[in-house]
Amino acid sequence: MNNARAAGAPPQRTIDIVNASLKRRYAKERRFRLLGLGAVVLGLLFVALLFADIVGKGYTAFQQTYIQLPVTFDASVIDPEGALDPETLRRANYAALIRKAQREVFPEVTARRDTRALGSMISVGASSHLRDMVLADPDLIGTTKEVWLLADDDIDMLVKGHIDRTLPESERRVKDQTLGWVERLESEGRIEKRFNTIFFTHGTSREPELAGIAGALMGSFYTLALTLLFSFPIGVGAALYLEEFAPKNRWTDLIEVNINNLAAVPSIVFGLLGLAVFIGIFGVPRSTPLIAALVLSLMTLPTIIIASRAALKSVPPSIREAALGVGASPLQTQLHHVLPLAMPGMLTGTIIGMAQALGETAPLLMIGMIAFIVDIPSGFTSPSTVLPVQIFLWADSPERAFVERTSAAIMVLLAFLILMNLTAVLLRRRFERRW
Amino acid sequence: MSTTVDEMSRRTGAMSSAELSGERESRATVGDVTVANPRMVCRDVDVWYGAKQAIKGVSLDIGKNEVVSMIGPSGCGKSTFLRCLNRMNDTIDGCRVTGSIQLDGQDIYDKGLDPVPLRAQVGMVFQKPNPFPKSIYENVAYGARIHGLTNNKAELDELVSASLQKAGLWNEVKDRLDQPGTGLSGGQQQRLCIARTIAVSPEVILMDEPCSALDPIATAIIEELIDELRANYSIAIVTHSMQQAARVSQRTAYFHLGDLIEVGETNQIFTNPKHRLTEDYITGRFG
Amino acid sequence: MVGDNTAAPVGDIAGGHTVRRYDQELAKLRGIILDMGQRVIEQTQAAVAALVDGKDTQAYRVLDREPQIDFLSLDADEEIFRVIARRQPTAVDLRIVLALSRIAGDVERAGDKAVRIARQSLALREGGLMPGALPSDALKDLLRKLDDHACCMFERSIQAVAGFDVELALGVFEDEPRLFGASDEARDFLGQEDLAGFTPRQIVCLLTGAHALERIGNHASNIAEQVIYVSEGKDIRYRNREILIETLRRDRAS
Repeated sequence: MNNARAAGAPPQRTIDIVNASLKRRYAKERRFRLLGLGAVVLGLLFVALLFADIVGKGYTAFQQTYIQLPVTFDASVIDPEGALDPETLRRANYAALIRKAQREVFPEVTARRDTRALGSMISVGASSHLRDMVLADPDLIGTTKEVWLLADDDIDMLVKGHIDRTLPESERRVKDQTLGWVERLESEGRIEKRFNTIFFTHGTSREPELAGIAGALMGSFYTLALTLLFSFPIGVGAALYLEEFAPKNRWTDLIEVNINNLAAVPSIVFGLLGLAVFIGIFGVPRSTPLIAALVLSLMTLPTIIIASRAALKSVPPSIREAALGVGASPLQTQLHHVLPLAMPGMLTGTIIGMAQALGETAPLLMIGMIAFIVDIPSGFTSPSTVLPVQIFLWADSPERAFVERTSAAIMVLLAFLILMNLTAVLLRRRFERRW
Repeated sequence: MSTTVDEMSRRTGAMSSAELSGERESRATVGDVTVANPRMVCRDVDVWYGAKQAIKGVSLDIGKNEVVSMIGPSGCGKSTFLRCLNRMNDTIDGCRVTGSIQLDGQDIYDKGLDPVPLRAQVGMVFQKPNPFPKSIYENVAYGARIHGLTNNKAELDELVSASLQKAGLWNEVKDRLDQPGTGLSGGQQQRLCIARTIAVSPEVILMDEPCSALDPIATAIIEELIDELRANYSIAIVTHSMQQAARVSQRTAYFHLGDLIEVGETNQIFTNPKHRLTEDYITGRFG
Repeated sequence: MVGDNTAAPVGDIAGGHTVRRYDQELAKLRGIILDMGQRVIEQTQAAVAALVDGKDTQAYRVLDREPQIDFLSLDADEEIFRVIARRQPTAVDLRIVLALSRIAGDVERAGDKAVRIARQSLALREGGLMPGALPSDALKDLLRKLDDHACCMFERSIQAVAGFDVELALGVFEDEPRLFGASDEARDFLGQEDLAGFTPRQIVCLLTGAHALERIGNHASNIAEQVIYVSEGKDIRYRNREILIETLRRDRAS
């Protein structure tokens, strides 16, 4: 048939054949482009949904409901001896002051059951707030002052609208009586939502309104700092040795395969390893940033080594030749020329590894980071928890107020992750331009 | 005349079978490999990459104040041989060098000899200009710094400017020594690399296709520079451009499949080569 | 040997380049020169016929055809110029181009010699002094012998160029003594004190013609020298011929 066409009178020119198929080819191309665009849009849509959900649930956690009460700093309650002894001041019964103040605002409430309900409107942390005020300024004793006190989480939820006031009383967490008091306080302007500093300055707590992420943040900080300290030098050193110095033989091949395999090992396995080796054999204290960092270093090492080797590979061999050619020793060649050029890539890999470590939960559960720790950790060996574990714990809590706190903590974690990845991108771009 | 056709077909047949088997005896070199005043003396150098022999029994002298050019088709071993002269091949896994290569009477493959100072004595300029991504000044000063050639900043400044002058780059860069060397043009970068090499006062300069990435003008400048450098250094240059070999060198060595086929005065090689392979190559008859 | 060469006029020595266009350019250049050589032989034979047998039309034809050889020579020069500029020939190619340039000059000058013979033929018979063939059979034989030697040498040298064949070139050198012998004989004959039937002016014309024939043979030798230069890479001009032939033969035998 081809022959017949070749021999036939009108010889078909290539351009005609091309033109005939062009339309089909372009249509194919358009379809492919639309598919790609669709995939990207779908991906973005889900990311947007996720963010909208988290932000929608969590943004209210950055505000906290306060109730204003006229507190009389009664000297007979606080400091009956008048010695202004700090110890006495610290131990005074500030809760009584609050109860007294509530009685003044709601003089009609007298029944014992009702006063207790009234008292539960104010957070248990409010008394320590009063204590801190007095300790900071003992002159307050004897005066009466309008003080904004932290509301209980149920009141907080109610004010923020998370508890539906139109529901029948039996299905509502807040009773009609309390609802009435809240509405009265609201009409008197005694209820206000303020920026939630507690969330950023306190450790976790059983009381949602007193729970903060400071402890977990510090724990994450100490853990990450140690992880970086352990994994970066070891990772870069290993990469440098494997890439530049090690002879290429069966052993180094084996090592290389194993490093690549390690990167694919489920992270919980590292947790088990940490539990068995670091805690079981070396006796590293559990539930501390130190043990967390050791485990996370194991986990991030493959990432760092692989990224560092890629960065080393991307340094043109001509630079090595140039340095060797003027008589630099192999180590000088690496340190003076190759390493500086590979550093941005290595740092990028490290930051990505760190981000991974920051978001990691599973292995930490194995090594006791799940413990309920209220105190903000003060060092590498003090018991602590980390952000993702804190999120995990809060997500498990039954109180409605922990839902928004969970979301808020996720927002903080995401902010840090995005910040780290952004740094990695910026670093790469900055140094790429120079080379 | 017709007999020559037969000879040629016989020869090419022998060549291809040798290529296949890879077990050919080394060919005897045509021409005199020695010079009256040698700086480097290579005798019976074999180079192996694993089981593959890249250089077969090459003997060649590099004289004082002369430019030796090495030509030959790709994969003929000329670059490999050049890289033996300052032990750059050490960095390649599985590379084995036998035979003797002497620099001023000292065997450079001696067990006790450190290749690091050797590379200060035998400098190298590469195919692609490869300045360090540092300032022009740092590029030139680097070798002196690591070898501790100068005692203070003033001496180093002096060395940098002298090297740049010798490389014919001083007038173009003297006002911007702190700018990155990678910002220069290709030809300037290559001259910067030459300046970097001569800053450590080598005795021999090896050049591996130094102009293959440059335009003809930059090439001419480098060639002129090579001719000037001949006064103080021995130069071995590998080039793909036969015209360049003809222009810059005093002696020419033709490599073919790992053999040194012919060595001779450049004038002789380019007018009246003795070996048929050399002639075929330089006249463009090589397939 | 000769048959071999005519069968393969373009010997491999100038061919076999990776760039086939280069081969073609060299072949074209050589073709021009072979063409010139062929024409010069025809011219010489026609001129000698005119001189010996008094065929004036032949003489005029020689004069008419001379410019064609000159033009071919200009073409050859142009081609040489172009090849040097564009191909930068080296080694054997450079020798080929240089040799062909010199050969073109020799062939062109040999052509001039043919013209000179034709002119002598016309001058000899100027004013109807001596119409027709030469009166002396001995002289005719001598001139024909000289012509045979010169043309044979020239033809052989041109064939040598066709394949840059050293054997043929050596043959040209070996013919030289015979050429000189024939030339001497012709000169001796014309130099006789009592040569009857020729005016001194006619003798001069005949001597000039004989000398031109000898010169054609000399050009053939020059061309053969260039063939050796191409093949052997040695410039053998101004060397002792006998020793040269011997060494070349020995080299080739070994």
